[in-house]
Amino acid sequence: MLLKHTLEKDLKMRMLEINNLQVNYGPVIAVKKVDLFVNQGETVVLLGANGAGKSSTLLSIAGVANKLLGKVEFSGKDITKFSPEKILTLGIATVPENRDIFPDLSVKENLVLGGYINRKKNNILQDTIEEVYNLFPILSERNSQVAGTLSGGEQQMLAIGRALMSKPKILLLDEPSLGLAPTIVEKIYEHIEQLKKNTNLTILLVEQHAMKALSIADRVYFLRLGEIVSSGKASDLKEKTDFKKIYFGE
Amino acid sequence: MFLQYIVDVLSLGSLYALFALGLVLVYGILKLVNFAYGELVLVIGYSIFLLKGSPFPWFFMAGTAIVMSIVFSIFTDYVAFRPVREKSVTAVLITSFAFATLLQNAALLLISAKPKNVPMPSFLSDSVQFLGVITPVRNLISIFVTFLCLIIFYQFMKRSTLGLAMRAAATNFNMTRMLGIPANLVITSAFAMSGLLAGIAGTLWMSKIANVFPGVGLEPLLIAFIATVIGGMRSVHGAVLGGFILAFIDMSFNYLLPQDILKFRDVFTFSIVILILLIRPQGLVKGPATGIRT
Amino acid sequence: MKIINNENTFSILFFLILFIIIYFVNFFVGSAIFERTVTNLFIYIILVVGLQVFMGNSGILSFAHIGFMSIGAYSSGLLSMPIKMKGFVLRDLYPIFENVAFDPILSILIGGIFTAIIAAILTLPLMRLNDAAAVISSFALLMVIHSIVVGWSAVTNGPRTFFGLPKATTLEIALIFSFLTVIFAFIYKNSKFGLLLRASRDNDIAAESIGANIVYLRWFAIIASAFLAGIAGGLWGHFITSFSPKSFYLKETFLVISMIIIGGSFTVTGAIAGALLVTIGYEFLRWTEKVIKFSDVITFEFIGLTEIVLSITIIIFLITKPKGLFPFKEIGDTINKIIKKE
Repeated sequence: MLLKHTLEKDLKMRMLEINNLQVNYGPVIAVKKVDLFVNQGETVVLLGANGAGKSSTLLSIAGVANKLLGKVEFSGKDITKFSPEKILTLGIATVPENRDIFPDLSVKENLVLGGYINRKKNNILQDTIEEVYNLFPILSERNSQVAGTLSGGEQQMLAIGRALMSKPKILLLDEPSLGLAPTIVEKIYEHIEQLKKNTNLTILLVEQHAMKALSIADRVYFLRLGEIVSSGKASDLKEKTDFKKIYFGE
Repeated sequence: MFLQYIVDVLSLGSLYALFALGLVLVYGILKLVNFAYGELVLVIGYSIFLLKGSPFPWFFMAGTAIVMSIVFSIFTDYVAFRPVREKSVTAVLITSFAFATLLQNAALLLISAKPKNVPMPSFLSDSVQFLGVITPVRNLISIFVTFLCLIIFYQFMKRSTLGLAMRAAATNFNMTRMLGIPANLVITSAFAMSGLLAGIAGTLWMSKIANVFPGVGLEPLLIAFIATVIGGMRSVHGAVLGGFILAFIDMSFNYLLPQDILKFRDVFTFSIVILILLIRPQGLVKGPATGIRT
Repeated sequence: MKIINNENTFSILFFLILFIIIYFVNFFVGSAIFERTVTNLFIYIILVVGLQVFMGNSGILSFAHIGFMSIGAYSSGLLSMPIKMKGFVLRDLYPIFENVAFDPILSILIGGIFTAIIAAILTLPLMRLNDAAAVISSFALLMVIHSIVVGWSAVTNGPRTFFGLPKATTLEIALIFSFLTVIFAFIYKNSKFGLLLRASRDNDIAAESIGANIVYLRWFAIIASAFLAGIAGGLWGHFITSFSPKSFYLKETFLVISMIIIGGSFTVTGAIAGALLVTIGYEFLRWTEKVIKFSDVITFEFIGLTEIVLSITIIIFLITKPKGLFPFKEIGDTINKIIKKE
């Protein structure tokens, strides 16, 4: 297996830490046992097949999973029982699977809602919108268009832009490649890379599309049937040829 | 004659539209059927009635009554909805039904079963005549006030951040929370606005019927229900449209049908409700794309 | 699960004994008012258990139940009313009915069947609706039935009182019908139809995957439920002998819903317990209202207290015990367990 604990010795600042997470939907166990951490400035990828419990893990950090056991800590603070709105104000922004943009509102209105916590500081709000438009120029062109009419890729950019509007410390990104054409996925990842370069933002990324995700990741966790089965440095993994084996758990 | 008919439909329809809008606000965002909605009219009526002897001018009494309507609407949320929101649709429906029964019987117990006179400024009943139309002043005021309310309402939903947040919440409640928009703020605002609209509509309604009794809320509740089902239970445009359509149906029946068939009017309108639920459950105007109950 | 099993038998036996005890208590009390209350109780048990047959097994709240009750009450009354009374009460009656005066019990049975037929015709398309749409459509159905009853003066005397029915419902008759209803509800609940419908209540996709046609299952249930409501209506009509459309409207709907919520809609035991407890509570509060009214302490009229207490109770129940006093287990299950232990 991979070098499991090498990185845990690094004395970087711990931003997010999850211990013993378990999530149930009624009788169905979506997440059995997840332990992971994200250090400041890192990009961590959570890989796994469909139904492995990736999204449920992300949603429990965001505070919208129904019943969860275990502990979620952010900057040393226990946030397990916090409401989603409280969690956002601490600096955790989420881009959910399916993007969940508001299709009946315009691009601008979606962004304004993303900056809800800064609503009273008009100049900050305006500046952040400008930053988002710089990162995703296409959104600036679509400014007053109704979001439901955007293409899939544009909707993904809007969802990311909306999450950035709250000026988060960490971004939770759920399958940005989902349902998009390869060239568009390429573009989205370029944007994410640029974002990393510009802002040094901490990112927890959930993906099925392993190769793409690994290209921007510092560290990787593998999730299978609701459990973390292995983890390691992304750079180590890229050299390994047998990673497909690990991925599919053969 | 034709113009008279138009004015009649518009004045009745504007009232119906306001009632429907107040009901659909809560349903659209929270997917909660509020059976206690009609009791806001009861609150309006008794508030004005109880202030009757006071030295205050009428407009102050009406204003106080509307504030009471807002307060009671928010109160409905706390008593009937908030404690059971996590539970089934049925549970929520029954608690609001129970709360309505509670308010009606409180009025019965504390005030009276008999209708009580609600004072109204006399100019409202004066008739005006123009272009061959004879209509009481209150009808013109109803039309005017309703259109004013609709304009303010639409501007609010379009321009204010809270309005945007409410529209967003109607589509995806959890996502709005993940953007840091407090759930309680959205819910309380929805109930407050529902109370405000019902309050204004209720005051106009009182100017028409001029008395209040424990069962006074039933008719406005039914009107709001029918109008929203016809127009679209999840769309504010639909609710307004449904209100005018219902008024058009009611008024046309009044004009066209003889008395002994007219008494079956409710059979017809409620059959339409059932038919629409079967054939086009989303109503005439479809609401926002998704909508998961919260 | 077999239809005849220990649990069912124990439940049915339990209620047989309970009903007989109530009967003898009434016999020894020997008061006309008490007998009136007990007869009413048995009629309410038919009504609430009838509602349980549909609502408990399908999980869908129906507002139309009291509407079905009114169909049973009016139609049976129309058949049994003495010919002399007919000319007096219903002046515009259609000639076919003018010279009809059936035996009251026969009329009640026909009334039940007629109600079931009406329900069968009206509700089939509604049975595919779920959630809010299902409840609102049943509410609309109640309004439709109510408006027809109010409007169709030729057979209902319109909004005015419908009177002149022979007083045929005795305590014994109500008890027998009530007991038969209880037996039916238990048998239905554990029959193939009941089991499949309950499976659909908990998980409709899973139930359909094993071949259950939910629409028809619900339809059978609501027809049976309407039949029982019709019978209850007929019995009540021939007990009270005069009523008006107001007797079958929102207040009564609320009362029946309170009973089933407090007792627990998923079990027959819950439905019966709800009817029993609410009846006791209701009578006690009515009595309190009267005492307060006739004492000279408070001079104004004292009405509405009963409904206030009832609505507060319901809200408290839905918050703390949303599935009622008997959420899953029938009384027979409990008895069976106790016996097995010993």
